[in-house]
Amino acid sequence: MNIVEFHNVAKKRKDFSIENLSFSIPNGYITGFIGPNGSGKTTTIQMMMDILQIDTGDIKLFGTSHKNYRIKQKIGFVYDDLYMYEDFTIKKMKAFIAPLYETWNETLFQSYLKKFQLPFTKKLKHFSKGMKMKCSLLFALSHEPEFIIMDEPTAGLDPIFRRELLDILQEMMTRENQTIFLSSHITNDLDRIADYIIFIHEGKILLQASMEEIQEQYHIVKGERNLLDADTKRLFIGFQDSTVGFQALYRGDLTLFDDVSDQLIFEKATLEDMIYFMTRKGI
Amino acid sequence: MVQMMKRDYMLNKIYFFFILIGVPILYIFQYIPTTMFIVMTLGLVFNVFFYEDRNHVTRAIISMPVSTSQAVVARYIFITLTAVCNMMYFAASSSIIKHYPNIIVGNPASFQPLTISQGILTLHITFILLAISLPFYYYFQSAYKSLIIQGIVVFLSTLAFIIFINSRALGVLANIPDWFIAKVMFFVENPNITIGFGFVISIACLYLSYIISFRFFTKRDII
Repeated sequence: MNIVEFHNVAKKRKDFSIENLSFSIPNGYITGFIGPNGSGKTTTIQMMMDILQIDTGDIKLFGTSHKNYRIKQKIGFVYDDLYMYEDFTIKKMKAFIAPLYETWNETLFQSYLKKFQLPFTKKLKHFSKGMKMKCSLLFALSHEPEFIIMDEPTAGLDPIFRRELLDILQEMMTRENQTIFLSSHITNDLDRIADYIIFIHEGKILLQASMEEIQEQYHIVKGERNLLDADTKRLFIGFQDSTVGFQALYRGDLTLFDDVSDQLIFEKATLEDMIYFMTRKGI
Repeated sequence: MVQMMKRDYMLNKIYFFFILIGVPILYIFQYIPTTMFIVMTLGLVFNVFFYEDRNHVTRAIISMPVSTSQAVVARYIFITLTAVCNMMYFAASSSIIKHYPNIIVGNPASFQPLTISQGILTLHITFILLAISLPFYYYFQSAYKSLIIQGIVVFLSTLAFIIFINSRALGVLANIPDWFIAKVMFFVENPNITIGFGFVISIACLYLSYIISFRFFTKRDII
């Protein structure tokens, strides 16, 4: 079963457009949403949450229309910034937000508050970037959502809390039916925790696959320049050619290179490699 | 919906504090509180949207389990309820101060307490101005931009009304038929009848305004 389904969604903005966007987010897994800056990650998430109106197509959340506000009981969100009244304190925010959720867990809220070391009565405008992100996370997790949407949650966080956050997410995945959708351009985070990857570029989905499939299928091939000709270039998804040699992203069975395997180096492709080569056909 | 109204109250505590202190002072100094009442109510509209725009809070609200219609209705109810409560406070302040002429600055004989008909009429005018103003805030999603438009609209409608009332004396709008002017003047000169009609018209305007605002809120991208 899929938690989210996009069917041929289109959205035109001033200087950016998304056409025929179709993908799905499977239930019970962490799905990483990757792509370079400006590729459409935030626009996609905002369409999913009904912040941006879609021009055409259809979005389903938990099998129902994404416009149904009741399904948001099951969703926790962490955006790239804390969109909350800056004159509010966490105490005031809780007074406003907690009664909106039927599944609000006060014990969990108190334990995260302690864990994140956040001040209960300090105005949000005096919070650092990291504290704001922790605060966003505090409210996203305290109602025990089945589905958590995160838009660049690790951007601006120090490495220690970034690691802690990933640990929290992994810990949460032990719960039954827990789904996380995490957009990030810091791909190292996703290499660690993601089960599925959706790759978007210029408003189009270039890849949707499981991490297992990606690790098995995608490779970095390195070798000397003389091995790179018009025919071999066509084998690669993308390549980088320099005076010292070439490196390229290849998808498929490496036995194809058996004849020249002693002249080539093969490595498993990371998500960063994939973003790099899939957005550059050849340099 | 109660939560949304509670939020607006929490955000505007300082506004209520100023009303609490400011209104009796206005009466003591014999300023024109009915005009101030309209300004204060329209100021509240700016306030609630300003807090929201500054931090793009609408994005978070939309992401919570809150229906968009309830979010809009809650704001309309909060503002109109506040206006009614404020008017009651204006009336109470006025009648209390009337009994203590020694605290009035200036000539106590010239002190004019707020009458019931004056209060209700002011409320109706305020409701109509609110009905005109609120959709701008939902359309532009910018408190400052909307405030400017709101200011222009209020200024132009007041100017049009003054010109209309004095059209004969000013020698303008000569083409308006006499019967129409007579009808309008009838309402101007009979405040009790105007109050009755005013109630129906102001509530109808607020309802229409809500429909427009709701449409803007649900059909436009949240900035």
